[in-house]
This record gives sequence, structure tokens and C-alpha cells, in this order.
Amino acid sequence: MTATPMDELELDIRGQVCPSTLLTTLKEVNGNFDRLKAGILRMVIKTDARDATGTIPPMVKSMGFAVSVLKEQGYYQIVIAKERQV
Amino acid sequence: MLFGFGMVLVGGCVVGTLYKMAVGRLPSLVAFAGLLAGSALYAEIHPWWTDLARRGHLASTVTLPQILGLPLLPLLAPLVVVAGFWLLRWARQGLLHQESYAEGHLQPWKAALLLALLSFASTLVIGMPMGVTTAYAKLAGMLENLIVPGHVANLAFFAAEPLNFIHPLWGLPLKGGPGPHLDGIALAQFPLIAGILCGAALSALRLGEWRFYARVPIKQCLWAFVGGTLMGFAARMAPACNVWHLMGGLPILAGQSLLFVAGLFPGAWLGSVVLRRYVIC
Repeated sequence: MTATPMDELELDIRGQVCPSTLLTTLKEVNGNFDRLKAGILRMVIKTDARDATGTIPPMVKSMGFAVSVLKEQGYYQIVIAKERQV
Repeated sequence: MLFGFGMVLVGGCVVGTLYKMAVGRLPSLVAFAGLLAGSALYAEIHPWWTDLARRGHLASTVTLPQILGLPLLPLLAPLVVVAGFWLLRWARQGLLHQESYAEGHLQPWKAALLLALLSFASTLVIGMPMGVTTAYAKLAGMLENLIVPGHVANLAFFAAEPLNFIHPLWGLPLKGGPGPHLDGIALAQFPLIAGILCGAALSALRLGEWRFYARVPIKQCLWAFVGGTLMGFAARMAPACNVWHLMGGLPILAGQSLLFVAGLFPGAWLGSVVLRRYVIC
């Protein structure tokens, strides 16, 4: 069985500080809520705001999404998707 | 209230702005410029504000116990016990632990303890808690002095020397103010500012997280400048900032600090409304 291809939306908010990082992410998640919930979209956020790695995950988890955080070269990559698709 | 409002637009307080600027954040650099501008703006209305403040004078003493004519310890001790009880309860419930994926993340409760120790050390060594906003006004005065020295010389604010005391333990005098020259304020606060900048930069370099990104939405930068200006302005009105009031004045129940903290919350709420409606939209 072939899996449905998933779209990926990249949100590069490096250089921004909190709480703008959280509010910008919230705006994008709300704007793409249906596609995220349907499992046809994955959101990849690039942020260098350390606080954001502590505020974004709980927020999106409370909205029912799964989230993963990885440290890349000088920034953090936060992936938001439907359960089991991060 | 003004301070709280500005703080949310900036995304940090007067010290938060320093360490975020030191690791390459453009909005914080812009906010720092705003802080200096706000301090300089205050200098223009200083005589009017001090006159207004004098007319609204509520008490001639500083702390709540002094105002009530009571000794400090009986008022403070029960508050400390209640606060300790709640902290212990939150610790048992795991509520003091903050989730974070940031490398080298220091739990806020540990940072709070370290800051309290630093504040205690500051009071012990120089006789006053940590502060930076008078130094910001001094820096603003120094820059303004380069452009319009005649005007700076005529402003009462820059001639004032509100700091003037003898350390109760060592007997050393400390005197100074926001004037554009080196004095007691420069001695107490410039090294602190330099230390915060260097420490933050070194920490970020060590983690490989020092980066300067210029691609930040212009709206966020503009509002960061506005927020910084409001914070700088408000910090001279209060006077002093959240670091001074929360870690210095509040523990001794200083009336001015209690009022400052009370105003922070509605101000911050208003700032978040503006941020959501006009900045991130």
C-alpha cells in the first residue's frame, strides 16, 4: 500500500525573538489546521530562539499534534504533524 | 504599566534585551536603541514628571513596614513561609520543571537561585541590588552629548545625582547619576552590562548558536523599537526596571516596587493584545 504523499511547509523564523516566535507559529498552525489534522501536511519550523523550544511543543501538543525538536547547525528544527508522522 | 507594555513588544526586559542582542538578535538590537532613545526622551520631561510625582507623594518612607510603622521581619517572615510552602508544593508536583529541548538548558528555578545569590553579592559588595537602566540613561546622555552638548548641559535630569550614600559595612562612598560622565553609576552598572553581553555571547558561541539574521519582519523590528522606547522611558519614570524592583525592592516590600509589579501585569496584557492584533497579523 503506498502512503499518501505529504506536503511540507517550512516556516523560517530565525532571527525572531519570543513571544513573536510562538504567535507566528500559532498563526501558521491555525491557518493550516485542517491539512495538518488530515495528515496531508507537515510543518517544519526553523528557529534560533531557545525559549521557543520550550513553548511551541506544549502549545501544539495541546492542539492534538505530535512534535519533534532537533538541533541543527546553529538553530532548532521543530516538526509539527499528525500523530506518528513527525 | 508602560514598562510591562513595552516589555511584551520587545520580547524581553532591559536585561533580556542585552543578552539577546549579544547573541545576534536584530529585534533586540533595535530595542536597545529604543531603550536609549526612551531614556533621552525622558530627560526632556524630567522636571515635569518629578513635580507630578512629588504632588502624588503617598508616603515619606520607602518600604511598606516603614510606612505602617512596623518592623520588617514580622511582616516578611510569614510571606517567606507561605512562598516557601507553595514552592515546595509545586516542586513535589513537578511544576518547577520546565520543558525545553534547548541544548544546555538551565531550569528557571536554578537560574532564579543563582540570580538571587548574585543580587545578594551585589548588595553586599556595593550596597545596592543589580540595576542597569540608569546606565542606559547615562549612555544616552553620552551619545546625545556628542551631538548637542549645549542642550544636554541644560537638562536637569543629566545633572542630577540621585545615588549618594555610604556603604554601611565598608564605609565606602558611592555617588552618581545619569549624567554623561564616569561616576558611581558607571562603576556599578557598566561592568554589569559588559559582563552580561560577554557572558551571553560566549555562551552562544560555545553552543554554536551565535547567529545574526537580518531577515526579520520589519513590523517586528519597528514595534521592538517602540517597545524599547516605552521601556526606557518608563524605567526613568518608575524609576528603575523589573530587575531592580523584583529582586531588590520587592523582597524588602518597598512601596514603589509593589506598585511597579502591580502595574506590570495589566501592562503586559495590553502589550500582548497589541502584539497579536498589529504585529503578528
